Amino acid sequence: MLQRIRDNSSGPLAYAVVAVLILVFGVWGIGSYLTPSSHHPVATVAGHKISKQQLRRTVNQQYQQIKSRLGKQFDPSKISRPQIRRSALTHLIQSRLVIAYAKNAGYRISNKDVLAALKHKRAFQKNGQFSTKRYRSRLKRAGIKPAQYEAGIRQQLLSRLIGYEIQSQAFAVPRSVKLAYDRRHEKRQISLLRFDPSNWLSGITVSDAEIKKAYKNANQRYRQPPEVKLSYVTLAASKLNVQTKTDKAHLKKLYHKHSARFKTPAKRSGQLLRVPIKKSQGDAAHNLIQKIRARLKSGKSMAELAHSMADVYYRKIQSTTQQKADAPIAGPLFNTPKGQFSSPIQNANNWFIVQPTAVTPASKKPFSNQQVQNTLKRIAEKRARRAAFKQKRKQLSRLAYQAPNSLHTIANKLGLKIQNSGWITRHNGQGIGAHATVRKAAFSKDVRKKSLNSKVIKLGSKRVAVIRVSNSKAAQKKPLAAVRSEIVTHLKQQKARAKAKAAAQKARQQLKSGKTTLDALAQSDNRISVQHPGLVSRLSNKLHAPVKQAAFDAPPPESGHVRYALAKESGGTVVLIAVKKVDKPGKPKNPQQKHQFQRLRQRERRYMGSLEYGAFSAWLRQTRDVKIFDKSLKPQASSGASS
Amino acid sequence: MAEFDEEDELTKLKQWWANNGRGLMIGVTLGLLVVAGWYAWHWYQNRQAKQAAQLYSQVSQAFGQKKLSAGAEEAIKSLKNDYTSTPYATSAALALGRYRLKHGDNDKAITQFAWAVKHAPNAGIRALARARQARAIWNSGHADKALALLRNAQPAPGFTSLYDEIEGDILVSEHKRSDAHAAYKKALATRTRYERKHRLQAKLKSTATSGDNSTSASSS
Repeated sequence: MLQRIRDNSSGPLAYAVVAVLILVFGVWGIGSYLTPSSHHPVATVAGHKISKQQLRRTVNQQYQQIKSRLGKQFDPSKISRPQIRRSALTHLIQSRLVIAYAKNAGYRISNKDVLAALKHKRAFQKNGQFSTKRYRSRLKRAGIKPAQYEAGIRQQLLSRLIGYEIQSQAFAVPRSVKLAYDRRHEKRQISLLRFDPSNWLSGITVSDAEIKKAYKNANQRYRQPPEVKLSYVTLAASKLNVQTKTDKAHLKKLYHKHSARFKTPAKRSGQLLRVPIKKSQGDAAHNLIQKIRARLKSGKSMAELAHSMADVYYRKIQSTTQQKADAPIAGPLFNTPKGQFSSPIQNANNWFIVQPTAVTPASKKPFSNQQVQNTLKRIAEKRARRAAFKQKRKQLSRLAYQAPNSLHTIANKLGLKIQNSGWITRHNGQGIGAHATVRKAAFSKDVRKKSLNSKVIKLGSKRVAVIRVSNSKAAQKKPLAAVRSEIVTHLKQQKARAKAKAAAQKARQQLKSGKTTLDALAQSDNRISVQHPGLVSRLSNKLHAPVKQAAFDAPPPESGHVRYALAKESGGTVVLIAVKKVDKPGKPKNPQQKHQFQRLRQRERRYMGSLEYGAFSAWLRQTRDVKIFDKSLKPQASSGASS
Repeated sequence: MAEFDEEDELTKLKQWWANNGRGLMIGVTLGLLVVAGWYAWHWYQNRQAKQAAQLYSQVSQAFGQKKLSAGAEEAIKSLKNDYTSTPYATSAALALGRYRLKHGDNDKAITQFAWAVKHAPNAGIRALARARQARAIWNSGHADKALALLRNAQPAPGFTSLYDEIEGDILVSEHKRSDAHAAYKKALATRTRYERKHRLQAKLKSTATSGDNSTSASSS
């Protein structure tokens, strides 16, 4: 058999096989061992896998971004996690598509670009300058190797490169800017007929049958929301009995620990000369400040020099601490000996020379000082109270979980009083029910449906509570008698609105046929009022937003024919708008108009840039192989979907 | 006996090597040559890309300072002549086109965009360059030529909506409101959910005539 193998392993075919094997192992083989594999990818983009881990990281980043953007208005219940996941995946796919495209197309990110990006990162800066030491130590702490981090930066730059290229090269041609300018600054001559539904209320009747029908059909309206009454215990740091250690050794320890509180920092006052750096004349300013320093050393005073030289400014520095002094002069003011001149200091716009003229050294109040003693006792008490509160809070949390069916165990073991609230709805409550966090917990599944104790709820900085539902009322429809008048009013208003709308539509027909005018209609019916706002621009605030919108959405009048449009104001008034004339703004002439035109040009340029990049991204998505494996992550709308 | 077998095996091996050794060496050498060639090609491509990136960095810097120096112009020329296969050549042409247009030199801008269309490294960049070329032609007062350029081109997938919107803009400036409206409508139909729609919807509304269903039902 061995002989057969030997016989068959010769000839041109065998050599070709050997050559191919060398090629495969030599070129691609090693790479696969070095590339980190991503198990169970959620998607692949042009052969590159997007792992669950990457997706989770991006979802968290996006969630944090939303949270910090909304600040106090952030409400986690309004955030749709699946939507964030889809958006995060779209972002990852897009970024991966662009990176793959840029690499294939032959774009390169140089080491210089990577270094420039690193230098801009605040985390690696010390006193506003990039610090290699800090860079290395931060990465070491995070467990990332510099090469790995730099590769990430390179990828990041590559993913932004194409978007930046397209958008920075985008332009707006004057003709398109003029179209936008005309659209934005055109004025329309309009008149209005107003049909206030309250004028149609008189004479409207509502039958019993209509009331019953409205009551029957209303599913959510006229309902009493679910309500609960709560039993609760609260734990407040301020009400705890604590033993405070006030012996000398303990206070001495605190004195050292909080020594900064008893220190008064050094203060200095002085004077300075400032030479502004004019654009592209940085050298001139530098030469001038050197010359000034030489003259100061030869005995000239700062004030005299500033008086005799152009572009040199003098200022006295009032007594200040180093922390409060302006950034560029703080260092030199506190590091230069009294009476001497600092070396020239530069910031973005100026050169300075500083001279300290008076020095008040730093001081520290002694331990024996009565004020210090009082402060230390307060600190000791605060610390003891904080520790006690922390311990009790832990106990409270444990007991709420271990004995979930009653508050008595908690009350007995912690010496807390069980209290009761009034009725609380999901959105309103008095006393403890005034806290949104309490209402949210009260209507949670565990507390309301399973009748369990809540977890510990934070009420303030040092106050917490545990609640449970003591009584509850399900949502129910209010009795007809209680809401009858409300239904009658609602139905009457509904009918009045319909009548006002019908009257407006009829008026529009009459006007279109040319049989009457707006003024004549208003005169013939005192329920209608007429207004002639005249020439109105899009930026005017003479009209309600929906009326203005309809007035400018209406097609412009052609060959003397007035255009009519209907709109409804937020109060329910129906407005019939007559557009009589459109005035185009013409060429921008005065400086203000020219400025507006320039601003529009910038806006149009940005718009075109985003359209072009959008089209380019769509092209990438549609021509590259994108696979999403998790069905829940697939885009919901099919239009332009990647796969 | 065992000694005899080993001797026999060695003789056979020598014989096999005498018969096949040369061929095997040729095969291995061929394989190594292919690998070396593959690496050399990549090295060359990489070097070209690096040099082009360096040149383009000069160009970007010049445009960043809004000044086209002689050095930058030379760099663009070099990119277009010596590095045509890199993406930087087209980028430079597009950037120069924008610069020319900004300084009122419409014809030179059109030439740059046309060059970019011809030498674009892929369909996406080609479509982008063509859209810019059409807008520059429109700006020079030849709306019909611009429209023809947009209509006769088969836009790359993803670019249809952009082309239709530009077509709509051109038609509005030619006072062809209903044609413009139709173009905007087409643009909106093909716009993906990732792209901006609000401005396009406003353009659609502003070109609506009384007969258009897409406009507010309450205007006439």
